[in-house]
Amino acid sequence: MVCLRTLASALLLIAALSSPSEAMTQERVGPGVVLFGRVLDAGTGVPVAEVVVQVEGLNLITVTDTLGRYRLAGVSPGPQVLYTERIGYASARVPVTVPAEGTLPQDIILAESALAIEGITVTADAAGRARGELGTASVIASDAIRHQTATSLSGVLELVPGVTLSPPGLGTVQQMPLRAAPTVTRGTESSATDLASFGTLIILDGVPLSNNANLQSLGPRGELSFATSAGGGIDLRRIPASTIERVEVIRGVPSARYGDLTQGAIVVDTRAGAFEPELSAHYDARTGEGSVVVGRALGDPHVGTLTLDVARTRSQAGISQDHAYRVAGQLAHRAHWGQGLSGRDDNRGVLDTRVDFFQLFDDRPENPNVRPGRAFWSRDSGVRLSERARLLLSGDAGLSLAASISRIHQRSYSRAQAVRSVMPFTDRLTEGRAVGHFIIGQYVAEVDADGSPWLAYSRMEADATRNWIGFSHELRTGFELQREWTGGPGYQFDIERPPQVLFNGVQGFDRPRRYDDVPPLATSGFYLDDRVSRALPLGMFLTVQAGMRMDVLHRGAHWFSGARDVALQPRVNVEIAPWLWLRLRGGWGRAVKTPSLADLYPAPQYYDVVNVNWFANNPAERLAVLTTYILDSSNPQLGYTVADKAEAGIEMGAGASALAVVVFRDHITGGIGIETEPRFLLRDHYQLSDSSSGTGRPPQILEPATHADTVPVLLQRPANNLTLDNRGIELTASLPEISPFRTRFQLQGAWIRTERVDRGIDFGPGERFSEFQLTERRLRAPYWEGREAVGESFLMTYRLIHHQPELGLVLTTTIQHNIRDVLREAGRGDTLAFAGYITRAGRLVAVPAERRSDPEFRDLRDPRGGVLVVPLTAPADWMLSVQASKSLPLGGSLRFWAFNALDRVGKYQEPEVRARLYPHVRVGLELTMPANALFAWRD
Amino acid sequence: MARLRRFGVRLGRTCLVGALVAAASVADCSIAVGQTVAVDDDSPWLRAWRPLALTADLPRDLPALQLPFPFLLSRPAPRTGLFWSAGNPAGLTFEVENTWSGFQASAREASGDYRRPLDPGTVSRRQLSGVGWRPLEARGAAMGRVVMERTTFAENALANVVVPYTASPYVVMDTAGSALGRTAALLEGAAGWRLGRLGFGIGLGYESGETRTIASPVPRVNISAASAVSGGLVWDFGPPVRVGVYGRWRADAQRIALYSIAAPSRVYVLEGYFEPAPFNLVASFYNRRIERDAVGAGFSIHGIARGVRWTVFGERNRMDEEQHRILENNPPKDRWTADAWSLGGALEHGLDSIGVIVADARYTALEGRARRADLDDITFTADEKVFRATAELRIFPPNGWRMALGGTLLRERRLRRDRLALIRSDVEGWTRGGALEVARSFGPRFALSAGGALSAYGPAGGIPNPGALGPVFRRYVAPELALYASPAQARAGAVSARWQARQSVGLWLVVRYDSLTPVHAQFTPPYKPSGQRGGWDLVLGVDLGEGSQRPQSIVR
Repeated sequence: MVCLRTLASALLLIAALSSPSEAMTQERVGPGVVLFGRVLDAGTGVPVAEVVVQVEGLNLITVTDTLGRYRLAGVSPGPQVLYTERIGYASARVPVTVPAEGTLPQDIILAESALAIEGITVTADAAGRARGELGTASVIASDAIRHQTATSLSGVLELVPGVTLSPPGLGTVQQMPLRAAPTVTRGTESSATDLASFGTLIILDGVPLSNNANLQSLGPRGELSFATSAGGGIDLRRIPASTIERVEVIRGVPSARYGDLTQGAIVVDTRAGAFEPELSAHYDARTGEGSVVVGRALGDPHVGTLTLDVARTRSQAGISQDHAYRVAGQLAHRAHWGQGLSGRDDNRGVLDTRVDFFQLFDDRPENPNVRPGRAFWSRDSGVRLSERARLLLSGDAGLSLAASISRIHQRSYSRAQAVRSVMPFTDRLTEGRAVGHFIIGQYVAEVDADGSPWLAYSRMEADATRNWIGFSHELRTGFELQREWTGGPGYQFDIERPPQVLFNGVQGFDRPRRYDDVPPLATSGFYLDDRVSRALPLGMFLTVQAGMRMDVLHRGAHWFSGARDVALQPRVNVEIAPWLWLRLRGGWGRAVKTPSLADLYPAPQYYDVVNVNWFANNPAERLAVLTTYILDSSNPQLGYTVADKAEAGIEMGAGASALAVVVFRDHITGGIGIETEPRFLLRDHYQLSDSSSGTGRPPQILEPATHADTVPVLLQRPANNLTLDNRGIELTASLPEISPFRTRFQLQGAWIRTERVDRGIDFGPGERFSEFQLTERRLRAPYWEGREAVGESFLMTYRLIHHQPELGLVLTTTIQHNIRDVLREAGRGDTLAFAGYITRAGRLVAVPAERRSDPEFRDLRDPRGGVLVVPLTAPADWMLSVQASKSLPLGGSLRFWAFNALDRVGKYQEPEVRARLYPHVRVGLELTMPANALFAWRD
Repeated sequence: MARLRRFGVRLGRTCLVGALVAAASVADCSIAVGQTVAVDDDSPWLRAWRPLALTADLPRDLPALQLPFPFLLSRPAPRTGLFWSAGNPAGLTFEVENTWSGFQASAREASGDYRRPLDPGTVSRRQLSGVGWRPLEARGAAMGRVVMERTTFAENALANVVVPYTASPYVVMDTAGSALGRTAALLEGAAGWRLGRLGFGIGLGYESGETRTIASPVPRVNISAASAVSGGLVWDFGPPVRVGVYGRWRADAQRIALYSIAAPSRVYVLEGYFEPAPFNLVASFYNRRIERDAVGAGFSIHGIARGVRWTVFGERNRMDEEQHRILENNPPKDRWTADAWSLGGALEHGLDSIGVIVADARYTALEGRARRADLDDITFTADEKVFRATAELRIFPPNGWRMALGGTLLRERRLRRDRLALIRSDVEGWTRGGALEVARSFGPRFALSAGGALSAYGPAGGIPNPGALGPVFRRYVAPELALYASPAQARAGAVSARWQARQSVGLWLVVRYDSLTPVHAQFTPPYKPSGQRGGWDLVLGVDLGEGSQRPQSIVR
């Protein structure tokens, strides 16, 4: 048993080292303080040996000896967090305030249940640091995750400032925009927070996920209603919360190591290593979930882990049969080689293999009572193989390799009843003229979208720790290669029964498209990063992290195909600690987001120009002749979206008490929106022969065409024409525990203002332009430009945490206070808002603002329509949720939660005031039991 | 046998307790067959402390269902005190000296026609629950309880509120009556501390449930939430007297929504005996919101005299209820206001080490007034008085046999006046019940028990003549009044088994059957329900801690 525990501890230590970001520097030479103490059992007070003790964010790690003693040298002054792991005990996080010099004794108490440990952390750290990062981050450790009501990763992220609480479940697509407020959307337009080009990087077990090859949509004009995250971020439902060990949310300027993002990075570690098997079950009126995690030492040097999670949500139980379910799991294997743990110069390596799989089904079967004929479902399933290796070249240098390949199969189906008026129709798939026919009436439109995105990723990284000219350096450099492609039959539908009803309109329409034809996306990146720290006079301490990253978006399908776009991204973070209780921080950096395959290779648009529209009462005498044009909607100029991120912050505090205020601004340019380009298509006119009725056959066209004219159409294609400006203030405060009541108060909040500017032009609703298209007498049509939408939110979250370690009880009351919530559009909507007009010759003529009221422009003075000139403010209101976690006699725990516990309704809509309605109360229970303990009573 | 004789002598001396046992017959609102609330099949001493206990309300149960079953092998012996009897959380620290916790999984099925119109025909319930208490260091103690249950209501589940038969006259119902499924969870806890002679405590409770139609052309949803806080102070004057004051607050909210999707329905808000206007639900929706706010304050005194632990308490309560259906801010509301007061007491006497006798009684008087949103004057009043007493005697001689006697007495007088319809009902009902359970140990680890209980309900008073009233009254109100105006009797039988797996771990199983039948009477009110109603329970439990060391489950 002792051997097993020794092995497990060793593996835990190696596991901690296996992340390439975690360069080990035991007994690091250089400035800093020596931290030492003993690790004791909470129940017996006996010293605990073989406990892995590390300082979060500083890459310092050690193991307790047989007397439970540990010693960590080179700890930076200021607030730090000690983190411990040992099999048979719950992980503990102990906040400490490290002095400028000397030594600091700190004993640590361990217990079987985290609920019984003094000072359990059930929220994100007020002043947390991601590993190897200096920018603003929220660290959510395992004890907080276990206490959080969450079905998937998005529920865990509710501990981040500015995130709205929502009940757990799988009912809708879940994405996580960081530091952004929702803006006004119109039609099928996405809010800035949902667009793929404004992205948050998700890293799962050291390897990024990507949604760039997700094509499960018909693009901006698609009428599909199945649940899809295409065009946006990764659907976080695929990552179950029950298997997450730790989450780091880097909201500030990330180090140069992270690319393909504009708004931050979320680093997720799942549970792996040797630990007792654990079963957990979650149940509420909508959602049921069960999970199992098993970690076993498989004999030196191997350890294996299995996690499995099954969840199901019925979002409208009792009303519809809509439901979503998920099966997700992971097999992990770790092996190490080399010398023991105590030496500094031992060459050792770690090999970490993961196989992830998930199935995420979202079914909305037909409800004939509500919407006959309407049904849709999405079925995503995927598997990912990732391999990470780390080789310690010496005591302070290492080499890391990571590679992964993943394949997701996405199949979505949509069926809906549609009604259309009489219209000529052709099903040509190539350009040219053809005799068509007339279609009319009600039909069932079915679309089947079937794609298989692939992602191949690899990274090589080297790191080293050095002392040069009195500065301690942590150097890191590496390069990444990433290739994404997709396959599958694509979206298929009966051309005669498309999902779009008005498919002969001004904007073209889609026809079935195979995904196999879409070229791959290849990117590469190189980065260099150095973290420098040094003690300054007067007890001050300086830390600087600076780096440079270069990303290349390649033209072709491989990494030697030349550059389509290149982005250099300098990044720097500076922290200075004048006193132990104060840290001043600032950062600036540039980051870029890769365009998605859907943006780089949009589907071609089909336009069917009607040459002859002869509709007779007798169907046999009708004649429709149409000319099909196929326009390429891709944009060869499309490139990276660029984010300039800046922040400044101040952190004060000691131990578990902290106050952090951060002011930030993310200015993102080149976001990918839709550019509307007027085009003119040639239309031939023909005379008809024998067009009298009663012949029983259609008339014939007489060649050649009598004359030709042009038909104006609008071609929509992706363009880097969006600008997003996010600015705000984040506040996090943790007050000291009120000892007699064993209660702590924590508050966090964010004021965020998002301004989205669309620099493209638009021609108003399609119906308006169609008048210009179809009526030759109308010689010009107005256009508008420069839409600007603003969203503003001010959200505060207050948490009251009562902890009774003796009872193993933690009660958390959370009040979320929506103080301000405004949506508005800055563009004008009146009749003088037009910017100019387009002529039938295709010329765009700008009209100066002072001349728009002239009589000659009377025909252009239409209200723009759809512009929200008056700001819509939602009233301030609050909502309360509670959670109670209790340790159970057999070593398990029981958690009770109530979302919107008081069932506050919110406020209904009033003139010029938006409604703020809260989801109704939801309650549930979650039971977690160590599998071994279930049978312990037999002993 | 000598010990038994001594026990008899002591029993005679404790005349007050004996009188209560003999004359009273106790009142444990056992498993409510027709009700839709969470299973509360515990003794009064396990209910009084609950922060979520109803305040200023006297819900009407089906008559005769006061079956005082002791459950020798699965339930700890009754307790008394400021905490256990009066519900003052500050008393916890003085009255909990051991650690005990119990968990159970139960299944219940109930069906039958002898029920009220808004009781569902068939009830099927699955429940997981746990309760436990323990001292905290030297000066504190804590107790907690958690329940999670799933209940299915089939056949004529007409009511759209969680508890349709409360003192308030406002009840939302619809005529579709589709089968419902309800998922509910409950969490309650209390903690008390002692600083010298002063004790203080706080209790918190939370309950929420979601009721939805299972498959219906007229989907219905009821979302309910209740939160409660109680707090108290106790001053220890030195043995044997302690005096305490306490207060409680409870807030309830319910959202009701009905959608007419594929079939019409008709919604009524019953408001007493006046014929309500129907809301015809045709391809539309109906919603209503109910909010209740209740407060209470009380005193409690505890002492010991001649070996008898006694507790007396008094409590004053008020409850305000508001209901509205319009989806707008600050809508007009129907209101119900109830003022109530209670007096009660409890006695406990240990009989050497071979038995314990416990009795408690509580008298509650309630006056309520209803005002409709569109009228100025009071439209309905209720003047209700309920006296409830229970007693339990447990004997556990060292020869392997154990026995328990239980008794219950319940007197209800409910005078309910409808000032719009200008009619009233005035029903006085007496319920008397008794129970006997015998258990036998087979070896140090295993025990079996069997028992039976019987209670009888006898009414007096008057109810309105339904012939002169409207069809809604005749169909949905008159049967309930007719049921209260008719005598009935209930029977129950149960067998239990217990296996002491370890010194601190006991497993037990209870199978119970109960039935409610009308008794023939000379006068049969019109619209009286016919038939009978019955149900069975299967409960599997485990208890852990010091109290489970002995199969008889006497934990003190």
